[in-house]
Amino acid sequence: MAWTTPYTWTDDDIWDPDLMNVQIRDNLNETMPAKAALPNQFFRVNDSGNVVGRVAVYSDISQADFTTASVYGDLENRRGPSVRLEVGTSALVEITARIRSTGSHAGAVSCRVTGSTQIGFSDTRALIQAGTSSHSASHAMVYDGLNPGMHRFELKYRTFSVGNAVNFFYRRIAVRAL
Amino acid sequence: MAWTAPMTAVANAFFTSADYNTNVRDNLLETMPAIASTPTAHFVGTGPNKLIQRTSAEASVDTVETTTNTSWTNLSTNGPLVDIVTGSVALVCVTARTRLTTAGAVYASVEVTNSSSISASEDWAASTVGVSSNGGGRISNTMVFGKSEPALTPGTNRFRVRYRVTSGTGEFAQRSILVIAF
Repeated sequence: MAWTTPYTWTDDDIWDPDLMNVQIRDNLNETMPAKAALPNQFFRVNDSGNVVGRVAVYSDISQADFTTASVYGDLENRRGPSVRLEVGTSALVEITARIRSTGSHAGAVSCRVTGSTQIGFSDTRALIQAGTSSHSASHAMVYDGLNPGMHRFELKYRTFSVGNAVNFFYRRIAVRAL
Repeated sequence: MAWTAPMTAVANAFFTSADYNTNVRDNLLETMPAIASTPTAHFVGTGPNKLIQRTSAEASVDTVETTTNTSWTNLSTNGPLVDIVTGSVALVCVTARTRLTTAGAVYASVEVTNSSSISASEDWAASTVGVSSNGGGRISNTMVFGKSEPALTPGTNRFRVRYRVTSGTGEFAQRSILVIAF
């Protein structure tokens, strides 16, 4: 089934089942009510004449945790948060956290992507805060060039001063499939 | 062509080609698959029974650059900026890695030009206050023009990041702007 540009009917046309099925049944099956399957779904263009339902998901962990590692990894007591969803070629990823350093050094939260596409951690795709006062902030960006399919988006953490701890609270990841 | 409330079939009534074209052809042409043309675009209602396709755009500049300007200014590399067709509403997210080596504040905000004329403002800026070392912090501010911020004039709008400090030298790196048009 696929979308077909609607036919312009003239008075002498003979209306047969094949025409009916292509023009009405198959075209209606390409519209939003036919494709709507999940609550809170929204729709985006997949290709010319084709729309697809997408979702937004989030996960959060409120408990305080810390790291002293200067390379991206899990916090001392618990990994994540993470979400798993199907996306097209891009996704909007928002990272939120409250960060408090034990000194003047910074801490960072980045997102690793696995599944149909592999994207590692990077300071250029991270929420970064420095200082001993707690800072709550978010960082949002679009991940482009993904291979359509199932992906896991997981948060990892690091300190900018090896051996010196950074504390993380109220960590959240929100992903909107595009 | 426009959407017409679908007719109700009545027993023994004639169903003409004109009825078909208005109620089936023209109405199908107002649905999403008929309008869909740009991959990853989304749909927005523009009024009763009317949809339009809208897109998102993102741009970034990674270069570390500085300013001492206390008025809104460009850095050595203009932007980042995007040109995008919008209605009266757009969601905009500004991100920057900022650092100050003296007391004060740094701001990265958005100005909108072309169809609209909206100057940068602290009211919609990503900002940090105080001295920061070890590369500073990377933060975002998300704003909605046409809701919490001034409304846009529909058309092609340019969204450009602008910068200022309250004192000292502000350092900006890894700057990006994301615009989702509605």
